[in-house]
Amino acid sequence: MALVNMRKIWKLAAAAAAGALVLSMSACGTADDKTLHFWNSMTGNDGVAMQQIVKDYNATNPEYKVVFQPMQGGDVTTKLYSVEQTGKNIPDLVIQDNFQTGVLQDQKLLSPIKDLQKYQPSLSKDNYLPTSWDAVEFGGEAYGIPLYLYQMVLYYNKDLVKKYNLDYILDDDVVTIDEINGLKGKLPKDVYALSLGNLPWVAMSLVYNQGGTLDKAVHDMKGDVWRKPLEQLVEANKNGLLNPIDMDVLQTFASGKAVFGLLGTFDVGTLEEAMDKDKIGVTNTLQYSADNPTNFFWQANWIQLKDPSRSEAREKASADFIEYVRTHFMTMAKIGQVSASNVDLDSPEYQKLPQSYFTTGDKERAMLRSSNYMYGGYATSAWGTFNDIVYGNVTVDDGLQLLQDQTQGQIQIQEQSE
Amino acid sequence: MSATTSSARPQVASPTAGVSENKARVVTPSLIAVYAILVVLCIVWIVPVIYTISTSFKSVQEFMTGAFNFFPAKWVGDNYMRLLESSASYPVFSWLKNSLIISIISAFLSVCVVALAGFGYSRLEFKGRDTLFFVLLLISMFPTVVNIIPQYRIVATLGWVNSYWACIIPGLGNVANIFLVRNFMKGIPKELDEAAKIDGASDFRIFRSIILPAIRPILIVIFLFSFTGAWNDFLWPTIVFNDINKMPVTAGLQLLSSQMQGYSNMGTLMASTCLAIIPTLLLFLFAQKYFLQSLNITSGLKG
Amino acid sequence: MGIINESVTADHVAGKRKTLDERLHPFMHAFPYIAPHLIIFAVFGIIPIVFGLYISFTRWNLIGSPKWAGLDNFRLIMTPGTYFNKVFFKDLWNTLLFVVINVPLCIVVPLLLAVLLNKKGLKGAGLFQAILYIPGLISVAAGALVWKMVFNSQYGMINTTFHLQVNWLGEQPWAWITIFVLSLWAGIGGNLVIYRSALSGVDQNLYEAAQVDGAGPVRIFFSITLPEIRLPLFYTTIMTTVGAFNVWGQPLMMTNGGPAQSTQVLLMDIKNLAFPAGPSAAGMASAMALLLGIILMILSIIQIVFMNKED
Repeated sequence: MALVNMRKIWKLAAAAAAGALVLSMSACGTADDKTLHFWNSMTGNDGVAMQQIVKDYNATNPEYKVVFQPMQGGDVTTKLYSVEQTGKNIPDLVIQDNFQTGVLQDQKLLSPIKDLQKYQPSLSKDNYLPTSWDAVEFGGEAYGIPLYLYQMVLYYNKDLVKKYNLDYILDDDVVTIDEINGLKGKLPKDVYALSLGNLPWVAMSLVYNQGGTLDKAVHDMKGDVWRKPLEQLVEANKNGLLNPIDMDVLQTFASGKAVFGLLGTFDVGTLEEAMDKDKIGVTNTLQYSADNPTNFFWQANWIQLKDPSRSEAREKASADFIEYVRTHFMTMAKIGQVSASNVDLDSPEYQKLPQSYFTTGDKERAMLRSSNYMYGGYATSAWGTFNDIVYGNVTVDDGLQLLQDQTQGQIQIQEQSE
Repeated sequence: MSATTSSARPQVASPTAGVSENKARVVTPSLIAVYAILVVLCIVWIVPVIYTISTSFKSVQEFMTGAFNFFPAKWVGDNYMRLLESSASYPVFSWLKNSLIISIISAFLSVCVVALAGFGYSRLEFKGRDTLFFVLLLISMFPTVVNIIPQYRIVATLGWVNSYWACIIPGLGNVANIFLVRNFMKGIPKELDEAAKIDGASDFRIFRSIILPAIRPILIVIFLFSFTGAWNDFLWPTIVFNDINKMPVTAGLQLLSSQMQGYSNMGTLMASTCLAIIPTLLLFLFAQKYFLQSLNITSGLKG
Repeated sequence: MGIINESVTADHVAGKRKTLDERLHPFMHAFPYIAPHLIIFAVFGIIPIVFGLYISFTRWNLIGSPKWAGLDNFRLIMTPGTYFNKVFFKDLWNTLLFVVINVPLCIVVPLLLAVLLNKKGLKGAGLFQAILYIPGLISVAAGALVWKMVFNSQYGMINTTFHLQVNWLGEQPWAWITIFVLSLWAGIGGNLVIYRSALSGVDQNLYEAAQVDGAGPVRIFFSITLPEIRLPLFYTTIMTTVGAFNVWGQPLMMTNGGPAQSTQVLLMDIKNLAFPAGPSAAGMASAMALLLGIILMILSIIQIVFMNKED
């Protein structure tokens, strides 16, 4: 009796295993499905805009249709590492930020852009904002194509500037932390001078503003380029000029409780929804010194992972799609992305958008900075510590020491891995 | 409440309190205290839930005013509309279908696997049984942060990338569920199956006709936990699906709301939270009727 | 042959006619029942875990092949003064703090609630239970956002309603309290359901007999309820402990480890090391995870041994 039932169970198990096998067989074995896999982290309204572009492109009946595959920020990297281990399912098109581009290039995982330029020669330096192209080059060879730029920039409430006669701060289009500190006692209690968001991002501009560069500054987190602006921000917080940490940055600014707001280029859509469009002014990001104003920008790049099995037709199709996006970027520009392509930068329609401020003339373009230093990302990951410093939870010395330990610890491990 | 008759007679005074139906309905001071505790706790528990729902009906403009409002100043369906509009570009309904398929199959197979294994580890005698089980349990406790990479590799080797099986099968290796069921089975008196064995019943027969009915409440709990677990998983589906149409709904909804935008995005986030919990909530309400059925097998045996 | 097998099957129930198959392989007999799980766990559980163990002895950035590093990662963690040493022990301390407070809360509160809900004559137990369970269905991320709105020092529900000026998320001990509130709110549902289910299986005659003997509710709880549900209780204790050691979502979302990293728990830094904004330090992350696993394992063995003795 027991034996019979045992056999029954074995049979069941065998059937289940066979079933699973059959299912697994049907799942694989697609030779060329004539689709391009496009991995990105565009969630929210930028995803909607990009998907529109993809749809329009697919409507032109290309040989290879593009499959739009969005995922949460860091998941793209995790997924890339996963497929890299198997060598299969490597996507044709990926969007990664400037620092991750550096990391992947350092591992020799990226195929050079000249492979794509064979099919679309216009995907070249001449057609892009020069700083943005510099950020995709490694040793003179391009390993990425810029898609758009983003960063915290300084918005100001025109009404409040007028009300408190603050035009003098904006006269040179440069707002320094010093000038913010100068507002001590000039504003009513419930109006903050500055609504401060994404501190580590802001810090990058401040570093470059003092002549620093990330490839050096990351190795010396206790250096003056980090310390001096942070000390001034600590001062600003003590003077009650910064929004308390618990107040949402966007909300504080949009509700008229702050004269200046350090917000993302990508926040402009939400801002215009929440407050009168004519009240919003935009200018260069926060500076330490007025001498050498800089706007450090992050960058979303097209990259292509090496894949020996990728056919030439597929390569060409990838180039075609990137070129299509380059010439049809307006949909994304309208939601606040800073275009890297001259097609937009030179178009009157784009020039009407608020973010065109950063690329209008030679003067503005000379202020742009970027970096693709692979360890650059380490300096930005310690959000909490930057906030702890400015809001007085730790002293500047202790906080910077912590940042120094953290980045150096991680870099040390990397150098021993080689 | 039907208990309108109040009795001054304290519960302790009656040695048979709780035995007869009538006396159970009598409102005693201790029952009132229990109600009070439960009501207060439930209020604390439900307020954030209601806040979630009310927040999902607030407009972006209202968020930007920065004032505290429990209920929206003006109820608007914008956030839900936004999700609905997104379904034009995002396959929200396919996501729901995928989630249902994955969660139902996961939960069903989980119950099968767990019941069988629980029986094996609690009722069948073989050398080193408990040692084997606790070793498995201990192994499963190891926190492995990098395991997503080898797991992906295994799933890719099996050819399950882009297949529902990638989201169903690995979860069946859960040891904790077996631990739970095993412990419940150990609570069932041994005399039951020993009596059956003497009558010549096979192990499988004992499993099917004695153990399974007895542990039905906990199997329903396992079904509920597995379903909810599969429903709420979001990182793993992102890794194993290369096609947005194949995504389950929890992972998919994350794509509709950028986390970059903080407060201004709160309404949409809350709206998608409310939508995502409806199926698991319905399942819970349905299941809770069953997993509390006292089967009282012991008295059945003795009688 | 028969003589040898006598000892193997000695613990078998006497009086039952043994098949030849059973005589030879008591394990093979049980195998069909445990096999489906065992195979899946071996493939999707053990292989990744063994891989993770191996990685902890290497330097690996998740790309290419790991480079053997022997005990280097562990040496760095154990050498006073290194960054990894500071991080590991500070985070471990915070994690232990979370475990010590959260585990008793998440066991005792649902247990008492389950007993209350089982009270005779109580109406609407299903509704109460559903309300207590709902938060568990909400993702940690969304739940944390709601509680952050409740605890916000500037325009949060609590400070506004009670006219307080407490910096809940930015000052201790409040920051920890907010994390415990979130964890309890979201975490009691599962254990509550298990206890309720366990209580429903307890023989009602036992209670009645005890009441006839004049035992009060407290004595009934300790002398009947607890012993009757000790096995499910044992399960919840171990699993809640494991879960608490692996905590990261609640502190990450509520306080982001602050203020001044006082709520930074181990898994947050482990994840940061494995998946950072720069190149990954997966080897170091795995080494820390292994150490955490060893601590967890020792605690669990103690719990298991203790429980088996009780049995």
